[in-house]
Amino acid sequence: MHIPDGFLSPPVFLSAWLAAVVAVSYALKKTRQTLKDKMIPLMGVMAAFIFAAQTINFPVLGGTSGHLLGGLLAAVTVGPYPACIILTLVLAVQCFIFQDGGLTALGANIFNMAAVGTVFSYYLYLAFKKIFPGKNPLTAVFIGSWCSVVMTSTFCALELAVSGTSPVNIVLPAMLFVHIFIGIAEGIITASVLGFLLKVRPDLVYGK
Amino acid sequence: MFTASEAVFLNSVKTKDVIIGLVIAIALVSLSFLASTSPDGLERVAHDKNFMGKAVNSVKTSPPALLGVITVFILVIILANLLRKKR
Repeated sequence: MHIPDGFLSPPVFLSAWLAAVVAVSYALKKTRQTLKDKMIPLMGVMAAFIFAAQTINFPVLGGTSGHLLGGLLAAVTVGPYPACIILTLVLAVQCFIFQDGGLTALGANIFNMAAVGTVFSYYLYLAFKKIFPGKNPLTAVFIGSWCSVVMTSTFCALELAVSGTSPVNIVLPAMLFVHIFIGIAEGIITASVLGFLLKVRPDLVYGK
Repeated sequence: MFTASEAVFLNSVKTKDVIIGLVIAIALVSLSFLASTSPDGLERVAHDKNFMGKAVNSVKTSPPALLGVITVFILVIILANLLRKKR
C-alpha cells in the first residue's frame, strides 16, 4: 500500500507529512523514556524481519498481491512506540533505496502504516484483548492485525479521495474490498509468528 | 521501578538470538524470488479505477533486498543507541 508520487495533492501530502512528523516525534520521545539496552538488538532484528517479510508478496483474489504490513507484529513484540520507529525506518529505506513509495508521499505512507497501522492498531488490539480475555492473545492479535490493514487502507483511500485522485464512493469501497482479504493474511501471519514466539521465547514478547 | 512483567521481559537477549533472527530475515529475502509479481492492493485499485496514470514513477533501481534488510537493521540499532544515550 505504498503510495507513489502523483497520487496525492500538495495540501494532502503536506498535511500528511506534518501528521507523520508529529507522530514520529512523539514515538521517539516515548521510546527514549522507556528504552532498555537489551531491547536495542531486538528492535534491529524486528526491523530486518519486517523488511524481509515485506518483499514476499502473496497472491490474493487472482491477479492481485499483498504483503505483510507488520505494524502490529512489531508493536506486540517491542512495544508500540519502538515499533513506530521501526516501521518509519523500513518505509524510509524502501523509499530512498528501492523507490517503493514516493518521496512526497512518504509522510502519508509513514502516517498510514507507522502511526495508524502500528500505534493505533496496538491500542485497538488492547481493546480486543479485553473483549477476548484469557491467557492466549492470538484471537485479539488476529482481529487487531486485520483491522490494522483495513484502517490503513481506509486512510489511504481517504487521502486519495481528498486529493481528487479518485471519488470517495469509488476508491474507498475498492480499497476496502481488496484489503479485507489482504488483512486476513496479515492476521494469519501475525498470529502465527507471535504464537511461535510465545512458544519458544515468551520473554521476548512485550505485549503478552 | 520494574513491574513484574517488565522484569521478565527481555531477561536474556543474547547474540545468538540476534543471529537467529537475522538468519530468518535473510532466509525470507532469499525466498523473495517466489513472491507474486501481481500488482498490490493499491496498484490493483489504481488500474481498475483508472488513476494509475497519475503515478509519477522515478526510475526503479532494484538493489538486492538483502541490502535493505542489512540497512534497516543497522539504522535501527544506530538510532536506538542514540536515543539511549540522549536520556
